[in-house]
Amino acid sequence: MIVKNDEQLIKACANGNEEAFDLLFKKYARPLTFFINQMLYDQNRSEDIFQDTFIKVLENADKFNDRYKFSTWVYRIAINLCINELRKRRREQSKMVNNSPYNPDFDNYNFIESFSHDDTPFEILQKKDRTNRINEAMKSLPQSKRIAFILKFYHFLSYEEIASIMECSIGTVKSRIHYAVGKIQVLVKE
Amino acid sequence: MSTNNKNCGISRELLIDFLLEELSLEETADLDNHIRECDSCSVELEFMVNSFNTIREVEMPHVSSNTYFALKNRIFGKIETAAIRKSNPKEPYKQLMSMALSVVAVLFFYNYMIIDPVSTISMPYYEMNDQEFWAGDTIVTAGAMSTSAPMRDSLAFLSNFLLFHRSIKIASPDIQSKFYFFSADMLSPYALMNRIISSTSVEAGSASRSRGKLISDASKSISPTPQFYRQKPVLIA
Repeated sequence: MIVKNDEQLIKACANGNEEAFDLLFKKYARPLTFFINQMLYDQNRSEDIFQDTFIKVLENADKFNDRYKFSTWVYRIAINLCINELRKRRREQSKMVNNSPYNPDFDNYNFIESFSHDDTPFEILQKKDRTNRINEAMKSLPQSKRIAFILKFYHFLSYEEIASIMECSIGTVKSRIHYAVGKIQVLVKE
Repeated sequence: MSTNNKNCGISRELLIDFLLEELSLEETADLDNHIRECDSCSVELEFMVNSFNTIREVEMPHVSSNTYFALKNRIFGKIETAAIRKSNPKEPYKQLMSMALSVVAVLFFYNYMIIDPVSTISMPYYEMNDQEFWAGDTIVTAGAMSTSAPMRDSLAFLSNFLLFHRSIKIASPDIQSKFYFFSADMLSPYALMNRIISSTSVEAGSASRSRGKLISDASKSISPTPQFYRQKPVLIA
């Protein structure tokens, strides 16, 4: 298969081209599932949302406006689906009779740690502790700031790309990231 | 909001942008030189680098092969289901309903006491009066849209038609031109998709827009009644 851009691949995939699907999956599955998981903190549900994102992209491939970058469009769809999911959870939470402080869906987050085989048990514990503190710090951020932070730190998108995804100005992205960095640094340091 | 607890005037936000490689080359070079000479910025930067490394310790998970196959099957399964739904025999039925709805509504309101809409389409332009012209274009637009457009767009066109129809009786050129522009806007996305009267749809769309503009321009001129589309061909002996 001749190497094509993402937009051509998605259209080929929509027509049933499995090779195109493989290429797209290889490119987007890992970062996108990771991003969704960082939003939802539920790995099982993240896979569902990733699938919904992929299908939405396939269904709307014809409507893609090539003035924008394809990847930012994909992330935009993923964000919208994550926000819908979070709203749905909040509605369900408010309907709960027993307002139990423990909610497995919210607490079952799975931030992947990178443990080396050379790590001592103590080092592993230290890393786990740092990871948990990062998790807590990220959870404490307002949604818009968390999204901007995740896209910058883990997906290495530029301020301009993030602004395009979040449909805001570059200045707004900067202020959100500056806020997030300040807050997380403090919490991670403790 | 900048935070600057140092005397050098370099804010924390600037250092963050520097580490995130969001400064221009010139700004990066200037700040780099400054950091080499400023102890407080150097210390703060080192702290930032360490915290950024801590934050980035986490890695993206590899998606398992089970997930890959499961997603692939579900995605291609959904694509297949969507394709089957699209070719479902019920879809043409919905389109026909939409077409019938639009055309019947137009005919109803124009009923043969005013004009004969069907024959209007085949009339030479210079023989049509304002309302006949408008009726002909409306029917073409309605027909073009109803075969390709979603029901909601057909209904939007229809409701607009009903709204303007009442005003058109007053014969206001402004109202007429607005409706033409509306028709052109609605028609253009579907013109090329319409298989039954595709070329007519394209022409109707551009004709609607042109006519809308002409009427709008004419309404601003001295003569209140535009005559250009009533000109008879000049016969050269």
